[in-house]
Amino acid sequence: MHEVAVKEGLLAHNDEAAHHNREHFIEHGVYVINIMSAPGAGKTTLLERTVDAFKRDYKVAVIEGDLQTNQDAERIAKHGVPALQINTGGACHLDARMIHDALDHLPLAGLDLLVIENVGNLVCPAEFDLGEHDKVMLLSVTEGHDKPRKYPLMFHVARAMVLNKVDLLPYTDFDVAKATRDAKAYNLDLDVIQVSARTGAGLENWLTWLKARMARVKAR
Amino acid sequence: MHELALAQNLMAVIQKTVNDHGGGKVSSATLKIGALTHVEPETLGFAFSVVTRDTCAEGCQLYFERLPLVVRCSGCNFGGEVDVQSMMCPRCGAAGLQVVSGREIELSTIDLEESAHA
Ligand SMILES: Nc1nc2c(ncn2[C@@H]2O[C@H](COP(=O)(O)OP(=O)(O)OP(=O)(O)O)[C@@H](O)[C@H]2O)c(=O)[nH]1
Ligand SMILES: [Mg+2]
Ligand SMILES: [Zn+2]
Repeated sequence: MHEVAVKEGLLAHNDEAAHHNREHFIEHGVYVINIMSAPGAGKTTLLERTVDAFKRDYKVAVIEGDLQTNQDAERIAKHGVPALQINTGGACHLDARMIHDALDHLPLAGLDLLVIENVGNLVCPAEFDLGEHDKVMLLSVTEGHDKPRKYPLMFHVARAMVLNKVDLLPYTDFDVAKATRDAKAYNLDLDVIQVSARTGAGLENWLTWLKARMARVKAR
Repeated sequence: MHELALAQNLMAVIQKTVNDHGGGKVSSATLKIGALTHVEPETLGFAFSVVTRDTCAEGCQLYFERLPLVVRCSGCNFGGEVDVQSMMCPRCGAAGLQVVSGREIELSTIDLEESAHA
């Protein structure tokens, strides 16, 4: 018996596939975000609003990741943009290979913005690069301000933290300053945007952030 | 539960390594896990025991080596380990540190028993 040194990352294959996806995205000049949150934080609701605001001026498409059901894709499709459902069949996250397979059914040509809604989960999606330009993490105020400390990786990898359901702030003890401070401790570059996908409050800031990030990709 | 995906990837890396060495059985494997990752050793161990059934790694023992979170402070240039829960520069107190390492999920070594006829 002898010891063999291997030294290989267990996510190396996913990282390669993500790199490959990224090349597709760059080639087509499409800006791609990966939205992650706990179940029910409001990802689909925010996307419905985003699609409505953008669809006149931009070509938008959405990939929905869920354990099962097509409900989220159906919700998005009602707003008149292409929406593709990926069922992970038990896996709690999307991986780069699933996105690559989905691109067979979702032409990138002509698209300005592709949004990927990940499976609702604060842990697993953070580990899997999809090849997106930016990861966006949605934290709803009903989940509590302790989440950045409990799930640091999620906040570390995100480019923006959207604090959703701010219409409910008066009914919670959620401390926006603390959540912001703790999240930024894991990520110097994190942008924090407060919205209510229900009332539309703060939505303008979110849309402005998206447009600014999108413009950076187009400018290349 | 991304541990199942990790266990499958781990099995694939082990299989490839064993093939490269002309076959054999793997009795143990050591993983390096960074402090900033969310890997449950117990969950991973269970998933691994399931995916290794009837393979060269059946019954393989997993060992976990925890790697610390290593950061650099842009304020005072401190470089070193910090606790994940207090992402604050131990020297100057600044928040917001550059992560140098701590995200590893890596197969480090395996113990291989070569096939008798190899
Ligand atoms: N009060 C309030 N409710 C909201 C807000 N945003 C979403 N909701 C509600 O929260 C619930 C979950 O919203 P979804 O958009 O389905 O959440 P999701 O993150 O897509 O959920 P999963 O895909 O299942 O993880 C729904 O009942 C929404 O109406 C908000 O800003 N304020
Ligand atoms: Mg949803
Ligand atoms: Zn310092």
